[in-house]
Amino acid sequence: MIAQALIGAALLLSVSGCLSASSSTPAVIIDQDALSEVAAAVGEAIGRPRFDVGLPMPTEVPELVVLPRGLSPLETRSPARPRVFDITLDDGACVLNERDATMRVVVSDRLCRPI
Amino acid sequence: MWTANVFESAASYKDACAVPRSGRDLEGKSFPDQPGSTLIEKFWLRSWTEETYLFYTEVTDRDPNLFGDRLAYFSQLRTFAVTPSGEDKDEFHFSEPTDAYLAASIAAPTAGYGVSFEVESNTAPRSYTVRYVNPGTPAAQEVGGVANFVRGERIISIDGADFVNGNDTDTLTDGLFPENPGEMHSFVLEDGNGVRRTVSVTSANVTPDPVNAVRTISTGTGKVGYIFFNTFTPVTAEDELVDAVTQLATENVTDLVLDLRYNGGGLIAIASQLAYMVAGSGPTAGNTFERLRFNDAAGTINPVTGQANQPFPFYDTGLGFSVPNGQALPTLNLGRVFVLSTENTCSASETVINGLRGVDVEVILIGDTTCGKPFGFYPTDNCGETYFTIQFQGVNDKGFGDYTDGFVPMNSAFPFGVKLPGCQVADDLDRPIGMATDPLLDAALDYRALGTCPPPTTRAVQLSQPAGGFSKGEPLTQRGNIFDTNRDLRMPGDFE
Repeated sequence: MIAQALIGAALLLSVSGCLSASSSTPAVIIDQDALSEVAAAVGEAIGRPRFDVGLPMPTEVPELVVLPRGLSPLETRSPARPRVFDITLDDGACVLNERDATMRVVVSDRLCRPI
Repeated sequence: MWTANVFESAASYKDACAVPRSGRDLEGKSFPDQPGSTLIEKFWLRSWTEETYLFYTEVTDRDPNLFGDRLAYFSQLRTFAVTPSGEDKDEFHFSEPTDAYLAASIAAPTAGYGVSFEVESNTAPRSYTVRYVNPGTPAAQEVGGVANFVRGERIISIDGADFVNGNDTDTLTDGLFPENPGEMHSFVLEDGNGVRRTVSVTSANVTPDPVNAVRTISTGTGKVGYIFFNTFTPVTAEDELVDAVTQLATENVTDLVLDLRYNGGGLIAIASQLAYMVAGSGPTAGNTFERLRFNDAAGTINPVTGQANQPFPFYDTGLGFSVPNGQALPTLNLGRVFVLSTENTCSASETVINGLRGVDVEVILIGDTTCGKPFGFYPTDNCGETYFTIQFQGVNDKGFGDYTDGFVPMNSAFPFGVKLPGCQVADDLDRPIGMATDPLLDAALDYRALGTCPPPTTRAVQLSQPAGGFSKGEPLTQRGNIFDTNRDLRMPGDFE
């Protein structure tokens, strides 16, 4: 997993917001191997190299759900919520934009395909 | 250098450690530690408390130099005020090593039996009584038509060691908390009539089972749904609740008994979903389930995350835990709900009660006063210790969240807390849970039919105390992390 995180970090091309939205197309992750790479990149960006991916599967639906860390037994009123990233192909790059937030993670377009 | 009531930014002291860690944590994240000192760690605690502690104005600012140990310094960084009933206002101030915290947070299924015990005493004379077993676990496996553990049975001995008064805590711990799946241990159990039996149980990997039972009860005035729901914590809580509500909606129930008597809480988000599924969109649309009230210096910002303080809506879709994000949730569209409660009904469970009351859904409380925890925190690591300090109070759509003495059934003699319609009824571990003879469920159905309560009862007259009262001795603790045995510091242990 750590190795995946490092690979993912190398794929983390940009967190800028300057790409055009005009050519943005909803996309999904091509397969489970690609998902591992994308998850590593997202994990590196959010500071949690290991996390569980929620539903729906981003290989089928153009969104990646990042589940919060599990709770310890003493966390009886936790505000933790999943984070949702919309997946698009944007001018040749695969972009994950966090919904209702500003985080933007860009990975290689070989990891995504349009739907 | 300490100057009274002058605080540098907590960020300026963060991760400057007396003993810096190297490498990565259990989640693969590099440790951020830099060389520092115990004194700097204490200054971080002081500033972090000033910035994020809900009751920061009630903390006496003491010189960190006067405290040798960071934990001793942390222990006094809280309010010492009391609630109207005399309980500590802040009973939720603690810390634990970060590696233990992370291990507990990301734990895979652990070895166990799938049984939950009521711990009346963890020191000799010990008293553990079976609350319930989870379906499909070793505890529920039947031998000769009887489950390995049955509600109401007390542990007498484990692997030949006297559980009640014995000193062989190693044997008792080995049996009660098996390290691995596949371990067989022998228990002598005694029921409420003094009848003893011996069972041999083999441990397995078990996980908490959120929804233990779902039933539809036919009455002369319509069908009543019943859900025995024990934790908001694992991701499976989301789809198990959806399945339960779907089943009850299909069966056209017109009332719901939500059994939260042993539910110590968990995720607010799932509490929100449950409240929505009970009430439907009518009273909840556009309203707030829970808003987090931070300290008065935070303004509209969450002082922990630095982000805008976004309230929890009544979530009407899956969130991706185990139901696809965006998938519509089923609803019962009820204007009232009967909640079964004990002092173990806590935190996120109370959020459901408070959130529904905030949109005028009637909550009828049957059982005992709830634990009274409207507070929460963001566990925060610094230099290998994870700290828990109260950082927010949850308030409902009406802005209400003052229930530190709990929600209280209307006919209770307890003069404090927030009174709700309903009945004071003692849980009875000798009665099968969720069945007609269960005094809480029976009282709920009677109240629904007649609007009357049975004479109030309390646990003191239901539970037989061990002879001689409780005495101090060596407590049994689960291997590795004592906190694994306690979902809440004020609650008896909950072992599964």
